[in-house]
Amino acid sequence: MNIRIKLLLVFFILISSKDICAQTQTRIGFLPSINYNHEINKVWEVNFKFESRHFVFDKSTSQSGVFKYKYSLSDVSALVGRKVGLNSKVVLGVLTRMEPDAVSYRTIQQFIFQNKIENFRVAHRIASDQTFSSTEPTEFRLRYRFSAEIPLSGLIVDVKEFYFKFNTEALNSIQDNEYDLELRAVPNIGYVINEQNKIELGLDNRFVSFIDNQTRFTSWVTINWFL
Amino acid sequence: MKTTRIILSISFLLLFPLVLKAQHKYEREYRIKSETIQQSAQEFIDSIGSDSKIKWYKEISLNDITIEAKFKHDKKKFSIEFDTLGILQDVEFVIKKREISSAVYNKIEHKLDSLFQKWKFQKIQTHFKGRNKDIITSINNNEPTASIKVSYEIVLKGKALGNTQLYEITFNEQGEIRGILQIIQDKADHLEY
Repeated sequence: MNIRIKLLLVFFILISSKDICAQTQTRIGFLPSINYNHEINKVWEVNFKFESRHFVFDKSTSQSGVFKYKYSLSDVSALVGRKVGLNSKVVLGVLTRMEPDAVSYRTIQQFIFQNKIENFRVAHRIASDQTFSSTEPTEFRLRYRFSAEIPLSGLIVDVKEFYFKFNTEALNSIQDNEYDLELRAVPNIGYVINEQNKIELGLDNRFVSFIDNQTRFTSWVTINWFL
Repeated sequence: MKTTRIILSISFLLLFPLVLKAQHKYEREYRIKSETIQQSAQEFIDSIGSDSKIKWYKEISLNDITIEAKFKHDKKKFSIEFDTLGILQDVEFVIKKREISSAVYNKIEHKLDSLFQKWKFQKIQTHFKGRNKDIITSINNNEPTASIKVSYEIVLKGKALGNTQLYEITFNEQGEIRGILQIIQDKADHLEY
């Protein structure tokens, strides 16, 4: 079977995997984002991102699910990246999280490197962040993300072509001396509109509180616009 | 090179000081079915006798349309290009540096040392040009016949003037430099951010 067909199968299995999580608290929502990247010169670049969360379904372990729209929060981030090698960069930045009744701030440090394996373009991101809020203790996270892009026609992704993108990430967090682990799996179908614009539709699946606590499953329908 | 979208052409004679002309390289390729391939192209590939699956691609650039067969033969990755009529254009396959004769390799190495503070091979490909029959013989014997025009296409990471970039450099059979291109890699913001 063609590798691309296999990957698409995985994508659809992940879409239908919500039943697996019947025993966990499950939430479903939309996660639209706009991601603007600008190369200042050969070495420096800036990235601005706006992302917001909207819940449409909530099911705790003790009750049946409820379909109800609820605005959750919006994130605005600004990052500065510096190339440190042919395919690697160091990124520093800040994020502001705006919730209906609170605002928190995050500082971000990332090291990103990418390479090519046959037709796959892959990127590794090792990152740490610190979230400060007036209502909660500071949260420290250390995370690793692996991303792969597979062209769905030809050997590379050209303009007006589709691609499949898969992100998987492990996040370790410490807050108030409590350790936690979160796992994410995010399959996306992307389309290159032109040299500057890409649009992606995907499912951001998050398994939160893996250690000790009641595991929570959240699935976001993501719509990403890269410009 | 299929890994590139935009390539800046640089004169190999005036290597770094003068960028004569910046060109945008437009290229698209699609996988196509073997049934649509011209018989002459199909016969040429069959005559090589590769056991691996042949993948056919149609490649469209601003200047022309070519048909490309990609496969593995004798543990080497081959890429063979035809025009739309099925006439052979180019044969290239990936080799290891030890497969270049030591005299030629030393010359190439010497040239690269003079161009870059530091460099590292990413990929070396041999190109064969000549009559179909001679190319088949050369591939089968793993040695080019006298009538075959050989060249080497090298992709390397090179550091020059403190800046590390990816380059595609062509050398002729004698190890003399014939062309150099700076490879501008595709944007990967959707993978990084």
